[in-house]
Amino acid sequence: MNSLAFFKHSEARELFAKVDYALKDGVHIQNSSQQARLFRFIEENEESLKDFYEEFYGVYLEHSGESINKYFFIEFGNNTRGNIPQEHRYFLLNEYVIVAFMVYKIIYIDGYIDLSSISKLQKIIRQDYEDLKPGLFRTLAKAKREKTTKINDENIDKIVLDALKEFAKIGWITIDEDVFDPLPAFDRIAKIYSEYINNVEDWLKGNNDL
Amino acid sequence: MDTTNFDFFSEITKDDNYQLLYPQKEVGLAIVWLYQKSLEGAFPDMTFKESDILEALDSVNPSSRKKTHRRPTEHYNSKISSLQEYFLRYDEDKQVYRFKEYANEFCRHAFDTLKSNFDPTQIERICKNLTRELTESKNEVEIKDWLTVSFENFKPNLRQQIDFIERQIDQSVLELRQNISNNENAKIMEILKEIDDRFDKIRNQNKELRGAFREFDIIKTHLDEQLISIDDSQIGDLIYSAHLFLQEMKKLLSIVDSRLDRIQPKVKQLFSNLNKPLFNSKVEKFLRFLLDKSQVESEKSKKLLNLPTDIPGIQTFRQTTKFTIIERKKDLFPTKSRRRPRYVENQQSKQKAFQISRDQFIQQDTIDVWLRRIDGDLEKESPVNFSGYFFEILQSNKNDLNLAIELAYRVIRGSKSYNWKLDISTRDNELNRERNIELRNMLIHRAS
Repeated sequence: MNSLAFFKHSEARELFAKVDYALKDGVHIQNSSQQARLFRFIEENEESLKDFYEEFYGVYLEHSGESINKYFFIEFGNNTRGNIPQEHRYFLLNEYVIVAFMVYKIIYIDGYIDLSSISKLQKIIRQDYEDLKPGLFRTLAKAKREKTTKINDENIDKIVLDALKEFAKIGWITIDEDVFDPLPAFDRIAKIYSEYINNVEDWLKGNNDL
Repeated sequence: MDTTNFDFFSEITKDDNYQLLYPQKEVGLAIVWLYQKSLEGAFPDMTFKESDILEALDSVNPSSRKKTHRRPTEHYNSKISSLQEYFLRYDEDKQVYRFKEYANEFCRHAFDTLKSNFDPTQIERICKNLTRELTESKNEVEIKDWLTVSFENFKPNLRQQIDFIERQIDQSVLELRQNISNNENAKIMEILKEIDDRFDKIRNQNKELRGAFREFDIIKTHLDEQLISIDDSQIGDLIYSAHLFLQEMKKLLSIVDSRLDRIQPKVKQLFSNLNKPLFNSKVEKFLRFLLDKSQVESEKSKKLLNLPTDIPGIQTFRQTTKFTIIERKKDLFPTKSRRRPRYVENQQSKQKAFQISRDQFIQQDTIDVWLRRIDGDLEKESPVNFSGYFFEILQSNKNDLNLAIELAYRVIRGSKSYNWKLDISTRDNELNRERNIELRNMLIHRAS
């Protein structure tokens, strides 16, 4: 068993607790300026840490992304035999899933590469996608009709901001006042749902039947 | 240059000033047409005839291309006379026109802005010249000239370079978005590659410009040195605003850098994304599916959003909110009062302690008296023999040897302060058989 080999690493005393708390808090760790040391520690002890989490918690330390975009995270997945007690499990609000896909679309599909202002992002989500507007107002603002009212606008802005704060917590983006910057791990939103995305046509068919 | 008393706005709104300075499009374009011709060498002596101006006006007038076109001579004539205010100078003798300086500036400014020539070496050269001029300025008048003329003229030059860099970024970003939105473009990958290379180039330009800025620090230091010896508050203000300007320029450069830092990784990501257009369109379909099929459910006063059936939420886990620390609070358990021991005074011991210290004082006093006596005796005759005093003190104090020894000690130790010289014999000793004491002979001299 390899699972405790990382104990002997010279920096384990200083870094393991930090790494452990971060990973277990759902943080994605990449080679960004703030996380560089944690990232290196995981990279140098990847095998043993992997064993450790699998052995004792029944969860998986995974990585994704290539070279400079590599990031580590714990895959909770849907496995039921994990040793993580129920009260420690946490679901991201479903609204945040939608916000994440919106951000993904705006920046990486529609190419708003210069976008870094939170307030501008809020405005784009509220105003720029006529065809998505009804859905956005319904799911994010919980509005019955997609009428632009001050309250609806404020609700959307708030959900977007809350979502970004949550993404910052789990290492998907960084936030500095009104500025946000996606980190490599933001890519995870598409990865998590890749199975569904790749088979979206089938899903659509199936759901239309309902 | 006194800018404080000149109200630019009210001046330009007077009469026809605005129109004369910023002519209508057709007239402005005609001027540019002439400027371009002159750049191409069409007017070797920089003069042109009225027919040239008419041709210029025609060339920018769309209706002149119609066959039925008749040149509106009257109209053109009034334009030309308006232009003579700021743009054209008419030489009546030779019946030719030349540009006034305003016309040259008018065109050159637009020309430079549009041509966007990036030339950091030019900036560097200008900076070096500025430094040299500044160091050679000997007095306040020269420094003031430097600030109001040389430095002032250099400002737009520098701004233009930074504007150019920023405009390049803006254009690239826009171009990229436009190319992405007309998705059919099969060349999108090539375009993206080209734009990414362009960002690299912009970054290099920014770096070069920063290199040219090194001279700024020298200029700053010089200005600061000058400032100390200058009393003229106007020059002080000018130096201060020069400082602000240099600071602002540096800040702009770093803004460009951080913008590029932000944009470039996203371009790289776009690369990999656009490589899989199918996946992108599926992401969009999936998003639309989520938006359409997610259900809002009311639970008490709260509204919850449920993703479509079978689509799981993102499960993650989180430690209990906080690690519970059981802390012993300092104010929770007040310290118990402890019995304070009381000490009973023992009068006898107290008296005894007093007596001992009192005796010590008395002893010291006695010895002081004796020392003074020896000193007094030395006034009369020198030397004196210490032995006499020793046995005398011994006798007069009930044979208390302590006192006599203390005296001997004080004599030896205090001899310097009394200005005595001691002569201690190593051979013959004074003997007091009665007390069984043997004492070295010690003569005390008064040192000269």
